[in-house]
Amino acid sequence: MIKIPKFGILLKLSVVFIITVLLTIGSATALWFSMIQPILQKNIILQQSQLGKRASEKTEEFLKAKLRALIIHSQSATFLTGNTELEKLELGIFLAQDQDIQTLTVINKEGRETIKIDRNSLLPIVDLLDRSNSPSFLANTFRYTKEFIGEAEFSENGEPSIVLSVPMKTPSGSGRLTQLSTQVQALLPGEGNEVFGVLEAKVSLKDLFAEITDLGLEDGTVILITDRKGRIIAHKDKALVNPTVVIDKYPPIKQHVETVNESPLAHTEEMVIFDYLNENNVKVIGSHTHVRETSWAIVVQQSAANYYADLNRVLNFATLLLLGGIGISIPFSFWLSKRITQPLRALTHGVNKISEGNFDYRINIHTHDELDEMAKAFNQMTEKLKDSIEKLKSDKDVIASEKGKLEIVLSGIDDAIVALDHETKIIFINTPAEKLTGYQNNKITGQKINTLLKIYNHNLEIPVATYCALNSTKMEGVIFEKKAVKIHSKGGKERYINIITGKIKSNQNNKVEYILTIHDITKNYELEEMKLDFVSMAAHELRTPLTSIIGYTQILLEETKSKLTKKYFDILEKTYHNAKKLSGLVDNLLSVSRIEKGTLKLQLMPLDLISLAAESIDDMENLLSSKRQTMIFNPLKSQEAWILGDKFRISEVFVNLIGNAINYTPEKGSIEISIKERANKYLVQIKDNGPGIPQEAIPKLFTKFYRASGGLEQSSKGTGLGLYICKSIISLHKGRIWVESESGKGTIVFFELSKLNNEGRKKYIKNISLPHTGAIIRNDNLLQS
Amino acid sequence: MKKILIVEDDTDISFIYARALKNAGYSVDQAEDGVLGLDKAEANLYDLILLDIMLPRATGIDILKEIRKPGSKAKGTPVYLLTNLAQDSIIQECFKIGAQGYMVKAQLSPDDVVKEIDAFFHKNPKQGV
Repeated sequence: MIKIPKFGILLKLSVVFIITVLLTIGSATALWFSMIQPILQKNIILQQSQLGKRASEKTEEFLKAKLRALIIHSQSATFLTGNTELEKLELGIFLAQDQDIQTLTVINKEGRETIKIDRNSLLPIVDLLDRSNSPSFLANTFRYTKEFIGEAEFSENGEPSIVLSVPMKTPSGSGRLTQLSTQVQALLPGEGNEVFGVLEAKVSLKDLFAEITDLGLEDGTVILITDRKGRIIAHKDKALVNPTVVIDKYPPIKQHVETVNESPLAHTEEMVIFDYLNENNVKVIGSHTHVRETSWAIVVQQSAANYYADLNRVLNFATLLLLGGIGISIPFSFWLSKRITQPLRALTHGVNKISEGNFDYRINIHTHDELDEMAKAFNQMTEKLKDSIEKLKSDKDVIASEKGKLEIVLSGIDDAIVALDHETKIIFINTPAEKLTGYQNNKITGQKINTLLKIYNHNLEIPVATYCALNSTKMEGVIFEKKAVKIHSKGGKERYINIITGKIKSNQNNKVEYILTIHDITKNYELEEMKLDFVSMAAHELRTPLTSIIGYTQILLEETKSKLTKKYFDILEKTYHNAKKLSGLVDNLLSVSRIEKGTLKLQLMPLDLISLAAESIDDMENLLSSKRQTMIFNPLKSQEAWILGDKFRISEVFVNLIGNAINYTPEKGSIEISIKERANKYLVQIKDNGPGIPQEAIPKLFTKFYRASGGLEQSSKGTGLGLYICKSIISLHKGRIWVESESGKGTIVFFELSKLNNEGRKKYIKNISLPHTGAIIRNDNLLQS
Repeated sequence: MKKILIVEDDTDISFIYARALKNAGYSVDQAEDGVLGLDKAEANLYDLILLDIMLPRATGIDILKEIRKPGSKAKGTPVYLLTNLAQDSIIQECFKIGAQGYMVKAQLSPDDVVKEIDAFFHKNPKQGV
C-alpha cells in the first residue's frame, strides 16, 4: 500500500502560498508605510511650520506695528517744542489711537521720566521715575541707538504686556535741543540725529496672545509662546501661563532656550519636531518657531494622537489587508492543493488497487487538465496490462500443459536425458539419467557435466568440448553422435552407451542448450562381448583339433599316395581340402571377432603386392583346376609394387577375393587379376565373368554375413564374412575397396593401397622373408646369452 | 643332426610336428608336460626347444623362466614358443625372459614350422653349447 506522505502537497502548497501572500502583502504594506510616514511627517511639519510661521508673523507684525507707531510719534515735532502739555496731548492722541497701549512714557536724556500717561488713569501720572538704569532707556541711549523690545511682563492679574521704546532724535540737520528756559527748548543747529530722549510704550499683549493661542484651535493644536528663559508667556490654558517658572522639559522650549542666545544667523530654517508628553502626560508633537526681533518662540503643539492616529490608521489598514490576504489565501491554497492532491490520491488509490490485482479498476479524474490526461494514460496502461496479463496467463497455461506433456513424454523414455546450459552446467536430468549416473536431479543441477559423468572411447576420455562443441557451426540439431562408448559415473559404475548430443538455441537469451540423449547398450554390449569372446574361444578350441585333422590327413596323403585306389585317395584329398576350408572359416571367425573387438593388430612391413598376389594364386591352384577355370595374372610392367602392410592380412585379402571369384564363377570361367599404378597408389583388380551382382545388393556387400543371392546359392560357400574382413583389413591399411558389377556381366573387385617409396622401404629392411608374419614373431634383439 | 625338443601336451599336434621335423632331418624328442620337459631339457642339451604355453602342472612361461635361470643347465638353449595364445603382452614377456621366437600354431601348417626352424638354424648355425 502506498501511504499518503506526511508532508503532502497540501501542506507544502499551503505553506508556500501563505508565505507568498504574507511576503507580498507584508512588503507592500511596509513599502506603503515607509512612503506614508514621511508624508505624514511632512504634513505635520508643514502644519506646524505654517502655524508657527503665522503666529510668529503675527507677533512680529504686531510688535513692528507698535514700534512703527512709536517711531512715528517719537518723531513728532511736538517733542521738540519742549511743551509738556503738547507732548501730553500727543501722547494722549496716541493712546487713544491704539487700544493696546497701556502706558506711554517719555524719558529724557538723563533717564528721567518726564511724561507718563496711563490708560487707566485719567490724569497724567505724576509719579515720575528715574529710568536711567532701565534697559529700555539704556538700549536707546547707550551707544547703539536702537529701539527696545522688552521682555514679557505680567501684571498682578496675569495680564501680559511688553515694554517697547524708541529713541527720540533730533531731525537731521538739526542740532541739540537746548533748554532756553524752563519752558522753552530751542533746537540749535547741529548734526542732527541726536538722541534727546526715549519714547516708551507699555503694550498689552493680551489680545495678541489671545489671538495667537486661538490659532489652530479647531484641531486641538496648542500654540504657546515662550521667552528666552523658557517661560510660557502665552497659552490658551491660562493656568499654564507662568511667568516665573522655567519650563524646559518641553523639548521645543528647551531647544529655543538653547538657541535663542545664539546669533540670529544660527537659526536654521529647519524645524525640528519633537514628540513628548505634555503637562497632562498626553503624547504631543511640537516644534518651535523663533519670533524675529524678539527672544520669543512660538511653540506649536499638536496632539500626537492625531499624527499617530493617521499612522495607526495606515497600520490598521495594512494589517487588515494582511489578515484579509491570509484569510483568502489559506482557503484558496487548500482548495488549489486539493485540486492537485485529490486526483493524485485517486491515482495512488488506483495504483494500489491495480497492484493488488484488480485490473478492471479505472481511475476517474475530470479536472480537464494534465492530471486528467495522466489518468487517461494510466487507464490505457492498465487496459494493456490487463491484456498482457491475460495473455501471459493463457501462455502460462499452454506452457504448463506443454510441460506436462513433456514430462509425460520424458517419463516414458527409457533413455537418459541430460539438459545442459551453454556453459555445460546441468539444467535437468531425467529419472533414467539418475539411475544411470547415480546422482539425483535436484542435487546435481548447476554443476558442470563432467562432475556427473565421463565418456571414454576405448579407454581414451572424450572431452566435454568434443561432445558439447561450443563452436560447432551447426546452430541447432545433432552435433555429436557416438556409439558404444563407455560411461563412468558415481561409484565407478561403468556402462556402455550410445550418446547423441543435440544443440538447441534458447529462446530467452540466444544462448545454446545441449540435450544429451544416452542410450544404455551395456546389456547389448556385454552380449556382444560375450558373443565375440565366445566366438574367439570357440574358434581357438576348434583350431586345435582341426590342426590335428589337417596334419594327420596330410600325413596320410603323403604316405598313402601309392597305396590307395584313386577313389579312396580322392576321398582323402577331399577330406584334406575340406579340413583346410574349415580351418579357413575358423580363421575368418577369429579375424572377425578380433576386428569387432578392435584387437586386430597389423604388423606392418614393406610388401611386394606382385609377389604376394603370385603366392596367393599358387595356393589357390587346386581350387582353380578342380573347376577348370583359368586364371590370368597381369602384374605391372615393373617387377615390384611395394606397399606397407601386414603380409598375413594382405594375403588373407587376396585369398578371400580370389576365393570369392572362383566360387562365384561357374565352371570353365576365367578370372583375371591385375595390378596397376594410379598416381601414388596401387590398384588391384580381381575380375571374374560370373553372374555378377545385382545393383541393390552392392551397398550391402561388405557387411557382415552378407551373401549374394545368385543362381549359385547352393554352391556358395562361406559365412559371408569374407568381404567384411577384406574391407576391415583394407581400411586398417588406410586403403579403399569397392566393387563394380552388373547382373549377368561379371564382377570386378578393386582395392587400392598407398605406395611405399624407397625411403620408407629402407626402414623396414629386416624380416622380409617371413612367410606368415602374423604367426611368427622373432625376437631379434636377443642373442644367445 | 640338430636335436629338437617338443614340449606339447596335445599328442596329435606333438606327433604331427615331430613327424614333419623328423622328415626334415632333425632328431626330435617329445615331452607331455612342463616338468618332464624341463627334466629332458636339462638332461639332454638340445639345439632348440619348441615350447607350448598351455601345459599341465606348469605353464610354458614358468618353464621358460626355469630354463633361463642362471643355474640351469639348459640356460643357453634357444626356445621357440609354439602356442595358440597370441596376446602381445605374453609375447613381450616371453621375449623378455629370453625366448628366441614365437609361433602361433593355429595359423601355421607343420611345413611352415619346419621352414621357420630351417631358417632359424640357417641364420644361427652355431646354436647350442
